Amino acid sequence: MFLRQTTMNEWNILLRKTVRNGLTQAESFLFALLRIFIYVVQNVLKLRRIHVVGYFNSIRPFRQIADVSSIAEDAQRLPKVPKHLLLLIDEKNNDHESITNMIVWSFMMGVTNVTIADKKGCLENDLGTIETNFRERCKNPSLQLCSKCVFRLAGKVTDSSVHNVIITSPKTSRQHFLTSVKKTCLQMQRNDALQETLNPDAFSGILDTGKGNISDPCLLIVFGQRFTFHGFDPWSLRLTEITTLPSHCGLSYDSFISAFRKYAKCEQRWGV
Amino acid sequence: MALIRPDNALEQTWIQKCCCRFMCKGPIPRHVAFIMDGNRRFAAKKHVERIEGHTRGFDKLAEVLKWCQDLGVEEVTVFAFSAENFKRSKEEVESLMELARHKLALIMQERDQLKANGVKIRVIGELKQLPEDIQNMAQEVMSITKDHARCCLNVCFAYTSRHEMVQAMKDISLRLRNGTLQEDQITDDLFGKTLQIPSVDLAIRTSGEIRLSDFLMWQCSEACLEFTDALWPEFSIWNFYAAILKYQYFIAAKKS
Repeated sequence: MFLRQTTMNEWNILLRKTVRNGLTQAESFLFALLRIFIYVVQNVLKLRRIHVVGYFNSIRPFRQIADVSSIAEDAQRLPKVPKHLLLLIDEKNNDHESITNMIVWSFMMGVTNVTIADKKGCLENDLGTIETNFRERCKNPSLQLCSKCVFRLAGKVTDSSVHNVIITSPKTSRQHFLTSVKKTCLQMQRNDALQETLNPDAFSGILDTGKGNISDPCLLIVFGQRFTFHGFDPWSLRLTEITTLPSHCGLSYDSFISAFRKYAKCEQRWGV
Repeated sequence: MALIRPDNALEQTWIQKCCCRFMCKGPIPRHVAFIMDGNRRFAAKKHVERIEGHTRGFDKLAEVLKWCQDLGVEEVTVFAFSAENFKRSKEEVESLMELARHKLALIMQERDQLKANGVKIRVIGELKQLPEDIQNMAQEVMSITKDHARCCLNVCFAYTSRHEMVQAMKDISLRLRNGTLQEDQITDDLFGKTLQIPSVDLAIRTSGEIRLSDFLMWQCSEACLEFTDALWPEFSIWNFYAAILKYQYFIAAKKS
């Protein structure tokens, strides 16, 4: 009798364990299913977007690239255009052709400063290639306007032009910020008055000395799967409008311009 | 309405409970930050007084804290009032201060629930800019909850990230001056630790705005960003779960 009861108890425990394990596995399975479902929904939404674009094809064809006059028309339709555009790339490869396209389109839209940063920091070595590609493109008479553009690495102060292209990386920009922090802390250690008077505006002045009078970015476009700042200098992005695009490789004009449309809808309230 | 609700006050539906359990199978952010934007637009949409919108916003915060607690989020930071918001009309700023007074008094009455739930509350920002009685109430709330360790709620009031960073620089320079810190010890890591709020894993802004408006800029530099169109008082558990799923994809993409 006692033995039978013990066996029953063991069976009960075993049964409970099996049910519990089964439930945990079922939950993991359902969780995986839920993720697959969301992944499918996201892709269906993307397909629908393509479908919607296809629908508008009857009105205006989808534009992989655009000519100067249609870019100018688009710029006129937008209530505002960012003066300083920051492109943050977190992808395996950098597509120089697309980067050149984005620079040209931005200048044609009315942007004056374009900063390009890639997570890996490879673009800092490709400054020459990007500049050569751009100059090649500027041989087109309709793009003469941007030919006086200055290309430089961040932190290397040269005379700023009407159009500037700055190449950097999140790591470099953060390092620049930290160098200024360190410098300011050491100055405060020696100077009591600065300890009292330092405020955000004063520190902005210290930081701006390395920027060559270029204001903080107005619009940030993050390329890649992860929507984050990737550790970019936190000081300069406080009022920057942020948006994301899946990839910069082979980027179409219409996709690029969608970020400008989003920016044009934003209203800055300055706390009021 | 209370900040800490009893378990039965916000009973979830079975499907919400299921989703919550599924979510817990994946990575859960340790620290979530919210920009609670859209209270005034909500009031305008519903044709009620602005202050009613802010009150509904506070009620939503209590709900969101419960969702976070259910998922096991350890720290929540909310942007309640920016130092820039002092530029608003005198009436609105006064009514917001009155709301803060009322809610802080309510939180003080809830000390037993806060203790039972282990909730630590910190009010962070340029507190000197606030009326003296609110400063005292904030100090008291912080002091009665300082030993609670299960989860932490940081309320950013009269806050901007730039002020926080400047204050951190001043703190570092004081340590340099009294010799407890050497010049070569000023690093990225040290600067982050000198700030009052630790790094954020997931930052959520409501109301369709796509900027951080000087909120936790340093702490959010590696955080997953989520901008949702819902106004803060309309922010639902599904918006929240969508943000958590995005965070889980973010982590998966980071690993890959």
